[in-house]
Amino acid sequence: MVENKGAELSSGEYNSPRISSELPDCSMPMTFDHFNYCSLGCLYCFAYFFKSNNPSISKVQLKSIDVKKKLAAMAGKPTNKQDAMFAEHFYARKFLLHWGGLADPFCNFEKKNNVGLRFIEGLGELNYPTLFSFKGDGIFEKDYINVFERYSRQKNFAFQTSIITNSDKLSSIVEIGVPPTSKRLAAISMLSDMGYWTILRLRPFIIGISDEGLDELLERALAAGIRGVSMEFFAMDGRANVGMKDRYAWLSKVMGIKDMHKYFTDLSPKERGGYKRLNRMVKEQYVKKVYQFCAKHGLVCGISDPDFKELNTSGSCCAMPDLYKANPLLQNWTKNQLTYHLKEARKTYHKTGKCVELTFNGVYGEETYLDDPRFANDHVCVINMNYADRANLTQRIILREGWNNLNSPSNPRNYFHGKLMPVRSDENGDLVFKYNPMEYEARWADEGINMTR
Amino acid sequence: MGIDDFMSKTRSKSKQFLEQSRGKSKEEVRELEQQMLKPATLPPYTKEQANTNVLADRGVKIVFPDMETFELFARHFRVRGVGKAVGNAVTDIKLLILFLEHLESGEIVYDKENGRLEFTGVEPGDNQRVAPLDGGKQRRRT
Repeated sequence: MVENKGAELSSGEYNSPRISSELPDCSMPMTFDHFNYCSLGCLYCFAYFFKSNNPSISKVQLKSIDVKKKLAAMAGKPTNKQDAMFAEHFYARKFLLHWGGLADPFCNFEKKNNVGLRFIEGLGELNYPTLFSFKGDGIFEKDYINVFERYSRQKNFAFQTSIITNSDKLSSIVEIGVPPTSKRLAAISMLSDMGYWTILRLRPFIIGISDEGLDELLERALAAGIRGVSMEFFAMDGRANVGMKDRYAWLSKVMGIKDMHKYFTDLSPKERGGYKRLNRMVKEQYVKKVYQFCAKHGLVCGISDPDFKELNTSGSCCAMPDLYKANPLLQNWTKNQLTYHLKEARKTYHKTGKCVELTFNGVYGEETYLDDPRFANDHVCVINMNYADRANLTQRIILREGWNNLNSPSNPRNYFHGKLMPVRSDENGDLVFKYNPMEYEARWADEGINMTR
Repeated sequence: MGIDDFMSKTRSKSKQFLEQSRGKSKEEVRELEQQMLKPATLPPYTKEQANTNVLADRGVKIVFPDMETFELFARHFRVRGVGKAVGNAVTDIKLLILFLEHLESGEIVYDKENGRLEFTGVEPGDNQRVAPLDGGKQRRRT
């Protein structure tokens, strides 16, 4: 395992954005980081496995994007092939940029190098819609406060602040080198006061850690001005090397688990493969609490987890609004994905009793980037693929193969563990999935919980 | 098995768990979760299967009679991955497509019997389609 050392930039440019592997149910598939690494040391970080803990990486070298080139591309003047393809399919229509996929936008690397600051200024000038996912405290520095204040009137920025526990003490144990919960709530407050759309990002929700003081955390976040909550549970990757095992051992003590591997293996559906996400029965009481809180206070409820995904109240599980009159550009995310369609299916069922059927073409519609082979190279499945297949592969083909393969963890039946069930094939030879109402829905409705929002 | 059968396996497990876990320590709750909340297996799907290998349907394997012919082919089509685990593959087939379109339109005809290609002088877009020569006779149809 190689640790991040120092904060100096190396030569060479970091290539970002890329297409997210969460494409099947993601409203913002264009995911962006301005550095190739993150300086924060959160024990649960899934990006750790792909970055500094990646055994194929022998030397950690910090690189950044080329701000000038990136802004030129976003303004319609790309200077290289990679930027040109994103300009064609995304920047031209000001598709929402999701910043903070595998690294924090305001971590120590940013505090040292200020690359992001210049980029934020450019995004502001372009009125480019951007969602930040962050927990770093670089945002409190004067220059950043000034720039966000400067563009607060046009409201092209939105913010998801990651908080996983109400307790500053517990946070310091699990999130090494990260500002405590109180400081992050202060960031939400500051940005809400500027008029921005802010979101409590309860991700990952770690059972045994995040549930303690959850009621109080929700109230504190509401007082800080949040407009939505986005929630997703901690999952354990079955591929664990020494670095990951050490982290899991530490986490298991705090979670109250004797054997982390056995706990996650016993409680995770086999159909979902090696990324062990537990199951909906384990998660229900926490999801119910968040769903009811959001309903009570008129907040957008975003369930990014495959379990209870149907409970989303907007089509974006990052809790971005369906409608945002202050700046409609923040609505520029895609509905051509399963979060939107599953949400609509749930609402239809509870309003009319009808179980909607979902077809492949009906869900993924017409998105030009899905048919451009250049974007398929972002997907891990191209490793060990022959060149002819690789030259013809598109993200749509990848999606279609997962959609139709009932042995694949990404198949809608397996991924949502029974929430969508295959019922037949359509005229194109693709499986058709039907909404499958579950026992908890009847129970919640009987308790008076609004299942139609 | 129908959809509802899967649903019924989880009936009231969540409620039972909540009742039994009340007042217990964190560690005890984790143990109880492992005992009571194991997920059910999804019921099998027994109806018509769908296509799971889209690209394979559009691919074809060509085996050449000898290395000389293979090398002739490789001089005109870029063959990649020769001898490697990923297998030989051709990515750019524009020349092949052009040839096939000319064959289809009748600009070129293939005399299979004599092993010859002939250029007919028929312009692309003409309404006449010329069938391949058969036993020396040329047929025309509109």
